[in-house]
Amino acid sequence: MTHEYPQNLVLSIYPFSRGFAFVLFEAPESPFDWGVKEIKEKHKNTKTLDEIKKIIDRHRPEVLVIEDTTGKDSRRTSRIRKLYRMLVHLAEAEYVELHRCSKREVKECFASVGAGTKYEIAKAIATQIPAFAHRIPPFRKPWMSEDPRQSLFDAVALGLTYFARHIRSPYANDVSP
Amino acid sequence: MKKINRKVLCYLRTHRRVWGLTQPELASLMGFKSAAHVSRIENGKCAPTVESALACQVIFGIPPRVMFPHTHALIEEKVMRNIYQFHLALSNTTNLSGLRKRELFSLALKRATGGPNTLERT
Repeated sequence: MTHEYPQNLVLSIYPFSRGFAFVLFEAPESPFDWGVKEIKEKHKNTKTLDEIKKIIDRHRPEVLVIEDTTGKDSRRTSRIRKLYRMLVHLAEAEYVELHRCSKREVKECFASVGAGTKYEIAKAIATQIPAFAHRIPPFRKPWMSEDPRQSLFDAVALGLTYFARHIRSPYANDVSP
Repeated sequence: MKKINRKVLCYLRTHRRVWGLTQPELASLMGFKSAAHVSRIENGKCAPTVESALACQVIFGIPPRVMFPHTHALIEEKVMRNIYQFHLALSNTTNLSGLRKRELFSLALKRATGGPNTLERT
């Protein structure tokens, strides 16, 4: 069977130390698919890239959104930075438009709803998009490591920042294209 | 060059995950013994049966036309082609029964949401 798919699917990816989170959007408030994949074996980048390629092959998104790690405010590890470079090549090979959003842009985007920290952003997202409300992680204490569910909200935040740049989203304030 | 998508459009997975249901949970709600059937529908490996489509409507409150847009479009296209053939065959009819059927076919053709060849992404 051959079939039509929703136009302009936007895939946002947020890698973290133990894997990556992805969210596919049809529209800012309409997530189509999402998930957190944990990758614990060796050669994490290669395996992560394979998993992301599977998602791209399955859903054929129009746009891939990743974090911009070139800014001063980015504190990602060298492995993640390398993974982002690999993702750029993957996007080219798969004919997917690539967009980068910096941490600053994400914070500016959510500043209008009074969300500054990652947890506050996650709470703002959960309020706005009920699909994620039951996935909100507990508040992280200084001695706790980050919950993998947080990365899902980081991926959503990237996607919403992309939408805020291109169309008016509920979080859009002064984010310029 | 752009790669063409060959996947089935179905919102079952989306709605299931929005409500935090697992495949086995949904399968037992729908009356299936294993989650494999739900998985096959979600991945487009099989079309939903009338029973499963209606069960989804009961659970999520989403009509099958919205939940399984691709299956709906396929059936609509097939039926519309048949209706069009019938409509043409009855074009010269003058009896009341034939006119009544033509009225039904005209209404169905007006209601059609998509035309032929709308299933392929160009």
